[in-house]
Amino acid sequence: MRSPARRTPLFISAAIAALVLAFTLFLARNGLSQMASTGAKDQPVRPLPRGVKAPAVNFRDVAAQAGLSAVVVSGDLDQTTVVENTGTGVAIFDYDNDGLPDIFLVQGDRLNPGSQALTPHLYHNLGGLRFEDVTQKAGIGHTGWGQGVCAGDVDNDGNVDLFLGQWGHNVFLHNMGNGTFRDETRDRGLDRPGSRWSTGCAFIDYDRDGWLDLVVANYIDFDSQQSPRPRERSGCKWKGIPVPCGPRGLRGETVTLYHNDGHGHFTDVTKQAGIETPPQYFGFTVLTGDFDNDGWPDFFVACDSTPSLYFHNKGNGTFEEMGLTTGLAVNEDGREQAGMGAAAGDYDGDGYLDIFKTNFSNDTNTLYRNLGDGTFSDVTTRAGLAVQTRYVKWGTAFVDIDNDGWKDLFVAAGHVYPFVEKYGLGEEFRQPRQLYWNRGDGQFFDMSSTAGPGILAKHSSRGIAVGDLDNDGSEEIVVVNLFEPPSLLKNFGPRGNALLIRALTASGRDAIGARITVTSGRRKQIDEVRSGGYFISQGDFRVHFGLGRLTKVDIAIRWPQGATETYKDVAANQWIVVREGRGIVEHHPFS
Amino acid sequence: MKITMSLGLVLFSALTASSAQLPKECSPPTSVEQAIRDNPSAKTYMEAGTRFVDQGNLKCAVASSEEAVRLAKAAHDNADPQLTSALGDLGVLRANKGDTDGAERLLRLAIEYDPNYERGHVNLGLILAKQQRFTEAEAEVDKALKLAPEDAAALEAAGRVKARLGKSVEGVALLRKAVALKPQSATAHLELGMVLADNYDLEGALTENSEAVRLAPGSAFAHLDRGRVLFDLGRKEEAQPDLESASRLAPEMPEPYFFLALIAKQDGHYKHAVTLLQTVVKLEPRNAAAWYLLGQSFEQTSQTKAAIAAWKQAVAIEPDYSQALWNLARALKPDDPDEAARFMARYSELQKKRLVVDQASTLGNDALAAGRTHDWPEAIRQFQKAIEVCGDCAIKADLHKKLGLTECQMGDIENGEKELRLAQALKPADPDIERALERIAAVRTERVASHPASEKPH
Repeated sequence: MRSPARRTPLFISAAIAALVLAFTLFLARNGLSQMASTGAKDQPVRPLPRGVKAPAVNFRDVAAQAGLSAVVVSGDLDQTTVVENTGTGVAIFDYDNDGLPDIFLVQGDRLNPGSQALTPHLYHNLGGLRFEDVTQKAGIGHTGWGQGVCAGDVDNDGNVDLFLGQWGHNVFLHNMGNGTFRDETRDRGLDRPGSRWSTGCAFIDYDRDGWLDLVVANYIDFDSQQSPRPRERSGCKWKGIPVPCGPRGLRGETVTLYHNDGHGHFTDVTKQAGIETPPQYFGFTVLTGDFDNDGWPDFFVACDSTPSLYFHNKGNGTFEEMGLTTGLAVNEDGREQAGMGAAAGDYDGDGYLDIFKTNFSNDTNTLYRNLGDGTFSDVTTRAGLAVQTRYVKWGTAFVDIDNDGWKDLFVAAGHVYPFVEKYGLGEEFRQPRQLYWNRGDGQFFDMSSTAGPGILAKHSSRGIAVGDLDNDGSEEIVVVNLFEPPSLLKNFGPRGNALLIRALTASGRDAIGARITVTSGRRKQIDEVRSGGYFISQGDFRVHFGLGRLTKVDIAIRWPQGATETYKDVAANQWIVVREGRGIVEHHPFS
Repeated sequence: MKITMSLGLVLFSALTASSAQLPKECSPPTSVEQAIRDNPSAKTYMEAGTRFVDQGNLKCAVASSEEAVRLAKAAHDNADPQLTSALGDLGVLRANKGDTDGAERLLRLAIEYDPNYERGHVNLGLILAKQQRFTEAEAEVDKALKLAPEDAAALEAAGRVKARLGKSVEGVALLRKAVALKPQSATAHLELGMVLADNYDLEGALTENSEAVRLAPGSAFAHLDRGRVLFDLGRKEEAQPDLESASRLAPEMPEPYFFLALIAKQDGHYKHAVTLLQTVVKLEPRNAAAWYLLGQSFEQTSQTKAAIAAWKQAVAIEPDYSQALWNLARALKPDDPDEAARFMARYSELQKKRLVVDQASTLGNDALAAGRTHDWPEAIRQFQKAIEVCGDCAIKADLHKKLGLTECQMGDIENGEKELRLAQALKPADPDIERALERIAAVRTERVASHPASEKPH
């Protein structure tokens, strides 16, 4: 058959005349080859069934008014190596326990740093969506080339600490409890002898001993690639244009698991815990969750251009990697995708956490439905999500934009190559966001074009984090934009009732891994207190539930160490603090 | 390949034979036998050759043609254009009947006879391109262009060949020139459209294909190509009528059904997709992609057994069809876990192989990049590393070839030849390797001639 094979192949065997060398393109970047011949194209946006009406949504970017003005740098605009492509994450966390979540913006670096060292930025939430840059005040300086971030209170002192995955050496910032942070990477056992390229991370109490352990994803064994060549001389092409090589073809990496000894000191237990894999994965986002409802936290790693990893917690201090057997490693065609971000949520209300993963351009995102039997099914097309394939997709979240009780999906996008526009391929470095409304029947409706200027605006975005920054019951989205200040997206559209729950362990730290179930009649919603996710980022630990018209619900919390507590008739439209063994200890009506 | 390389010798012997005789088994057809006897001219031998072709007797057709050339050479100082074109036509005839070897031989004969036979260079270029021998093809079309820079056919052929060689800018420019010379040629527009599409300029391709449809509304290819581009642009509603027209105009052509099936599948009309894909596999039973998609469509209509059967067909045709292997492993798991495990093992093995190829390719790429800056030791080091990583992977031959060429470039003919021989053992039909080895032999001869003492064994 002529047609399916007619397109330019990935491996172009350039011919050689006599003894004159001809230079051959061996590899293109991820994504291009993945269309294959099976028509992985945009599916039509499905019309809504009769009688179903999408909500009015109006996301606006209020970052400038809020005072979020720091520019995130990731190399130079004329990017020459793959390390400049990936961008950075962002964290929403309450560093000073004032009930207003703050923002930590991870900073990249330049290959040829200038005189002024770049730093990440810590923004203190002043309330009313106003922020103050307190980076210097907090004692945070240049950390290196930052990538991902995750938050967790590693010493159970009630103050949330930060871990940064970096190219070079990772950084652990200990929250001193007085508004300042101290780099204690080495003291905590989190430094590594050599330089590596870490990306996403997540704190997780995998052995349920009450102390947070740490998972770190690593991307490329970059230093072993001798003097990576700048793109003009790399020999790698994407859609015919010279691009930096990678990640495909470069040497992959592994995932690292650190065990917390109970004093906030960590030991690398990758091997003992069964996390060790061959060094052949390009790990990005770490997504934790009890995916099989057995009470033990598992984790998924979205990997770029290689199969995703899924580590099932065996409950004895070890894991087994089950990506292929669960169906999470690849898509419905058995094809690995260029995985970037990942989110967990029970989109269909069946009591099991499903997984949504973003991918490179010319490919769909992937929605894995948890079948409840230890396997997942790629339902992307069935769910109406095989759309917007032209964008390079990064940070993503299940977020209930209209508080109707069904988790919708937000996706940030942006091309990896800033120079792509000058080649006339119709590709743009800055790309719009996507928003998919959950219809509540297992299908999503693409409302990206009608969801407001904050969604339509084009940026080259990477990490995102979700949190209720003004405590009004609707969640905001902070989006990292490369070479620009971040976006702070707020939905000004109408919304239903909601409940926001901060779950604390008996020791008083955010109960990462706690499973929260909110029930009203026959309808149940589940979610978890989570570290990591999105795209190498950290969201508000408080768990948000849209309640529609409900005014009160029952809550059940299965605490990380196994005990379950229930709370009856909890009123909507407030944020509450629940402490293990003590019940609801704080009530704060929405502002 | 051997035909090509020995052609010079064949021709030489044909032209220097002293007697005008055909091989014994080539007794001329009765209709021309008398003519040959009465007047053994180039013309009568060409006529005999044509008759041999009609009978499907290539060997005798070529022998007759060679004899015709010999006689023509003996009779005239200058090439006879009629004879040249008769040889060329005979070649094209062979090509159209699927005999590319015979066609190549005849065309080369014609070109040997008349090196200025421009159309012969074009056709030979096209025949070589059809066999993926693009470098050789380029040499021919370049000669044609030199002879007739304004010939649309030569421009078209050159454009296609150069585009396939990755010289897309040059290819597009040549095809645009062809279109400008022949604006009423639907084929020229389609050729340009195809190259533009291959270079991701889908809008440009759409313009050209639309013009082709306007010029040749009865052309199934024009409708198919426009339908494809529209499909690639995500405009499936517009693609559908074109694909339907193509299937009406050429119901024996599988492609339109294939793309219509993709559209049906996207729309969730899986039963219709099944029907269309069944048509495709009937028309083209060895289309693994169609079998795979048929399996997917069956699966979507809960016909798992039929899906499994279709996927098995796909892997029977293409044992390394990883998508089909994956789906077989998943679908068979509940009822036949052992068979499922076997398919999963095959799938996993393929994944591993792919990873190795990726890594070896990157090293190869680095080597080429080093070579581009004339850092030959680094290039060689990277190629050697790539070969080590590759093991028996799919690009082993190419790596040896490129290492060999690099070593030659550095002046290390001995090791270069060694690598090229290794490459040739893995890829005997590679013309580049053969050419390089010939060149090495020539260099050696030159060296012996210029420094005879230094080449003597100790």
